Amino acid sequence: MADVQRKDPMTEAPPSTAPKRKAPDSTPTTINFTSRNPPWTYLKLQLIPQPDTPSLQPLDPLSARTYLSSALSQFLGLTGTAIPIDILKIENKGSSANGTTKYDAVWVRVPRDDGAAVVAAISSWIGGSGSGSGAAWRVCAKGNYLGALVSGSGRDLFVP
Amino acid sequence: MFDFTDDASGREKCYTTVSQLPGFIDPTQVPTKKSPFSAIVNHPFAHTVEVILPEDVYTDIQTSLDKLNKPHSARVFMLPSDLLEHEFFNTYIKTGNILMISEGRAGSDNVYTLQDGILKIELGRETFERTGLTGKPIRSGGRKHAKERFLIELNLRLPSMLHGKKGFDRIVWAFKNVLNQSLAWLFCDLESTPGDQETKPIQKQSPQMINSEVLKTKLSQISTPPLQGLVSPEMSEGDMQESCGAFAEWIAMVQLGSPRVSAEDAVDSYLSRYSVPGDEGTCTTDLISLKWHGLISGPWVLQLFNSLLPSSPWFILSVSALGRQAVEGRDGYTIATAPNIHCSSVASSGNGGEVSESGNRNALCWEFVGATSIE
Repeated sequence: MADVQRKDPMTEAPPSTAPKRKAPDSTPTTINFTSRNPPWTYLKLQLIPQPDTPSLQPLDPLSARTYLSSALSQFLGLTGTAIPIDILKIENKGSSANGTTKYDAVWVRVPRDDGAAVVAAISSWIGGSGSGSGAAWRVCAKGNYLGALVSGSGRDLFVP
Repeated sequence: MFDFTDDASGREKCYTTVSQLPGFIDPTQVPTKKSPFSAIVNHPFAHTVEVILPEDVYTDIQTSLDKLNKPHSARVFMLPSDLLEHEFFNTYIKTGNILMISEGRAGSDNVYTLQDGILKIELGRETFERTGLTGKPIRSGGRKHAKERFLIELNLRLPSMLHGKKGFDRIVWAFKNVLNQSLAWLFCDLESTPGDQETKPIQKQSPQMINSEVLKTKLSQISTPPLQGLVSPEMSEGDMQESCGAFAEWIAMVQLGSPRVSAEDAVDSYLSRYSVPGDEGTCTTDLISLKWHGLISGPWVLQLFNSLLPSSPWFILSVSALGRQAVEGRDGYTIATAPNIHCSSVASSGNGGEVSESGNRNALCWEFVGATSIE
């Protein structure tokens, strides 16, 4: 599950056995480990309105949560609605830090084990039948470490 | 709970390193083999660099930071064969030093990078075989339905790489007959300042300059968890992973500009149950974020890091990489430096983690691998 090793310049003992000799306190130690199973998966989702519908209200946390719950219950039934979703941020059209965005987006956090189920549910959802507010979710970014996702992929630099 | 397999998620990793920073760093002899400097050097192409530090510290060091040349880069549209044009080739590749990266997604498009005179081309089997150049297969990570990919590596600084030589003419032939599509490139000249660009050969390609002016964002009233004692010798590996992971998450939340890290946030638990880590030790601070966007080179980030080190008691540097590999690509890294991140038991019992010896500074570095970003 995780590899932890403490590198001492003096003692290179394998991590499972206790080091025979203690390194003096003054030597700087380096700790390194690899994490593979963090608790959460993070998603950036765009809300894409259907072409024939006039326009959606600007996204807010409550409606985002409602749309997501609807997608989860449609695909996974009642158990789907039990997946906890944390709304981290709502990005409304044109308010992004690096330029203008075409669609409203939401950043969410879900438990990592449910990540694949959530992606499957929201990417197959076409919402709001009848009420005239048809919309779909598009997954823009997915990852287990939010730090790797926040700045995007930098592809915008190539576009004049 | 649900039976969905997720291949990509299983390949994601985060390498975390806690190290002690040397008391003095000679800018000409940076210890590039040691973390966190190794992380900076191993990510030569970056598209976004963000620094987060307390606002009152920033007002003190603003003048010294302003002295730093801003990163300059340009967007050009050119053919791969334009790289080998006499003037461009001699000025930038043989004698100068440039960084270039082409558009395209690794794993499906032909992607070119040029660094230290070494041109790397990633392409599919069919195109690779038509070029007639030597290369090696790229590991596919055992992905299903993924076509085999190849990497051609050409050191253009070798003495044999001259017009008229056999091996070189083969590259010229491949660029003329096979790899003959015009591409968008990002270009960064590591050896000149923006002022003297007018007479350079890059002007022939009519470059569009990318404005990498620093973008300052004030982040007021942020609840900030303590960095002190994030790891200590008594902690188990699982605990350390958890505390470092939670702190990295907080950093990313601040970068995102999430309202959840604001001290005034009062969101219902139905919408979000995120809470800032280190519940009793958090304090409310005004932070500032400085952000640069463009093709940013490793040496520039190193320069920024070195100029921040002596002047700010703690800061966070976060860098996102460009040109990620399809399998286990490096996504970027985040470095947090502060005194006493790695708390030895003696120091913490004596002064309650408040000791700030000037020599005892730690760096905590997270390197992210393998996330999926489409936009």
